[in-house]
Amino acid sequence: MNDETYPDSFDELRGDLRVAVEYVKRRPIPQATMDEALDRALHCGSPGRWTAHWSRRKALVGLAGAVAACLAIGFWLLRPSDSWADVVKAVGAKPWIHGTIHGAAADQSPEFWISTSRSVGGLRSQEEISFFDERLQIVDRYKPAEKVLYRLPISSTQDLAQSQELLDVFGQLFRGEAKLKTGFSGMALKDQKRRRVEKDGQKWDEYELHFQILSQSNSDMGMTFTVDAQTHLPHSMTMQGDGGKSVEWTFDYPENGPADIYALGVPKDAKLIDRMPTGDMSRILAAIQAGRDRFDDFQALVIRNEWPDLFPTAGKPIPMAFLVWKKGNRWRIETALPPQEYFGNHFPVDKDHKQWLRDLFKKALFEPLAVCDGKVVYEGEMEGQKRGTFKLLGTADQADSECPEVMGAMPATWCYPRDFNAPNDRTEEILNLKPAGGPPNTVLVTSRVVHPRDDEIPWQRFWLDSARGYVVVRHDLLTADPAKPPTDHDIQDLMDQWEQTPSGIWYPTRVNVGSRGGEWYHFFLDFKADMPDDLFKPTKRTVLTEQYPVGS
Amino acid sequence: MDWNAIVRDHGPTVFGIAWRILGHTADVQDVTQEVFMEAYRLQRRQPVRNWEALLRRLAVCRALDRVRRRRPTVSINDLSLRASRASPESDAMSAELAERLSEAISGLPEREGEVFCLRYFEDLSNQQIADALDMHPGAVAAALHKARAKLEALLYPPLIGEKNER
Repeated sequence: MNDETYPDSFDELRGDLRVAVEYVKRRPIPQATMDEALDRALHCGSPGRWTAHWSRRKALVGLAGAVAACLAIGFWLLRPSDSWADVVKAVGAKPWIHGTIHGAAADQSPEFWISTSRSVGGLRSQEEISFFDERLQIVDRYKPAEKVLYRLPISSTQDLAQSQELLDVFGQLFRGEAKLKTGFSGMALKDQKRRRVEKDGQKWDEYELHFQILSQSNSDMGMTFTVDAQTHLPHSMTMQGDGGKSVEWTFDYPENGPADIYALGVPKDAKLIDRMPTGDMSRILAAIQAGRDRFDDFQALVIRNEWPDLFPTAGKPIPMAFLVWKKGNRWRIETALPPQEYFGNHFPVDKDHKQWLRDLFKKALFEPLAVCDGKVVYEGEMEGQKRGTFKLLGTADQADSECPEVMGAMPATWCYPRDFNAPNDRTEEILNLKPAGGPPNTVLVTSRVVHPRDDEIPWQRFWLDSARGYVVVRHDLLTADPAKPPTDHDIQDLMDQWEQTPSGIWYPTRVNVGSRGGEWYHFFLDFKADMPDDLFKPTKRTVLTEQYPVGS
Repeated sequence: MDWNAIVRDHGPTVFGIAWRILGHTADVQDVTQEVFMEAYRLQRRQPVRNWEALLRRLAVCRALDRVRRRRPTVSINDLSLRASRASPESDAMSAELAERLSEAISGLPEREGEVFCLRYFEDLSNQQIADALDMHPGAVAAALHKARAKLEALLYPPLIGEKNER
């Protein structure tokens, strides 16, 4: 019984109805089936189920990326130590670094090579072989199981972004820069120790590092570098997770390394699929990226007029309000569920909404949802005793996947989406310059996941307005081939009202969410607002609500 | 958002609701999956302030949807639980009763079906149901009363000519 003061529900039932309910309730739950179902449900939390971008991101953060990541982290974290310059000098003199894994993952035999003088690197495991060239911005990726070699832009894959971070770090090290400007995403150093040890008559410097995995609040990882005290060459790196499992990498410094991906064992006759964007597609990708990167600073009020998904049968829409601040790569989003009297109180789209908003501001209590300081994202606690505090959620570039619910309050999310499919090895993109059936003046990019998982949305369509510099004006998520009739699970987001920022970037002022007809985001942007830097720190907001130029 | 914690904390509730309404493992697994996928999609659009309420509601709705789908047309007036009266204590008869009850609930108006399941399968109070379904507690009581009356009416065979008068 959930409410002790409430009478037993059985007392309200009679006869066979009571017998039936009683039987239903005492029918034992099949534990094994439930465990299996909940295990599947855990995977529903992968944002990739809903966008190909997230799918790609999750899928590609594989072993190779982890290899590069862990190594880079280790070197990066060493930088505060006094002897770091010595380590840089020692490693920088070597043309190649070669790493091999031992321990838990040794059965997969992954290994990597990296040469900062050439800005190239290779990764090889049983699952995948890749070779990337930072100067050409190309990565070749071969999957032995598919026997297909993909040629992709290096910036389009998350794991190679990590590898690029590794190259950046190494590049700075080899140039002798004692203080690195590049960080490594996803980790936060908590503490470190250094000690001199002697093993088998040889002296080693051990750097014991302890850091937090940002996306997992209670997950730490330990890392120990063993460096030759005489030559200052790192000899090994041991990583230890919360579960006690450890993996050890050992390093050596050969004179030669792989010249290309074929030198890593890819058959010369492997089928090559070149997905380097060219021509119009390349321009469109650049336009989307530029729109997102160059979006002017703003302060905004965002209204979502209703949320019938949650209370579809209530018969009354519930408006939600957001306050958004964006300054460079920093941002802050607060939200308020209006008081009950606003339930069913439609946002007056076509009338004077200023008074409606003024009233809302007087009565609604806004609370921080998320804050990004340019490097990491903090999530505001909304419930319980921790309400009003913040927790570290992840790195800035993880915001889309870690707090997607928040990002809908940012106009760029809709028109310059991060999940617009840059070429990758899981999806195919087809550009149609004269599509039928879409909004006027649009070109269509159709993206198909080549081998979708059962629970993955396989098709996406991006309708881009060429007259507005290729902004996405409609986005379809489809569960079936677009040539077939639409299904109930399809999602269509439509941006139908537009304005320009002072620098000329187009953005939607209204978004129809999910093509259900009644759900809208309304964006009111103010590009002249003064935004103190404190806004972008994970602190409770105590000012500005009254100052906010409502409806401006 | 800690998705693993959400599934861990509320998954058994979702599965339990679906299980009590459907009673077939394959259907229950599918509904559990549907509920969490829908919930995930919802939270992508909007912050969820009460996961428990959202998931309970989705579980009831989707499970009843599933019953409706597997029974092409269910008219509450065509159902009768009367067949089981010969041996009401037997498990087999109870199982049949339960099966027919699910069908009958799925034939109720949506709101009445949801309210009934949350009250009698999940033992929620009227206030808790009101919170979960965004209703006034008074409306919950009214819906419960109607649902009970309709379902109890199925326990008795209609008198000749009565069916058409309902």
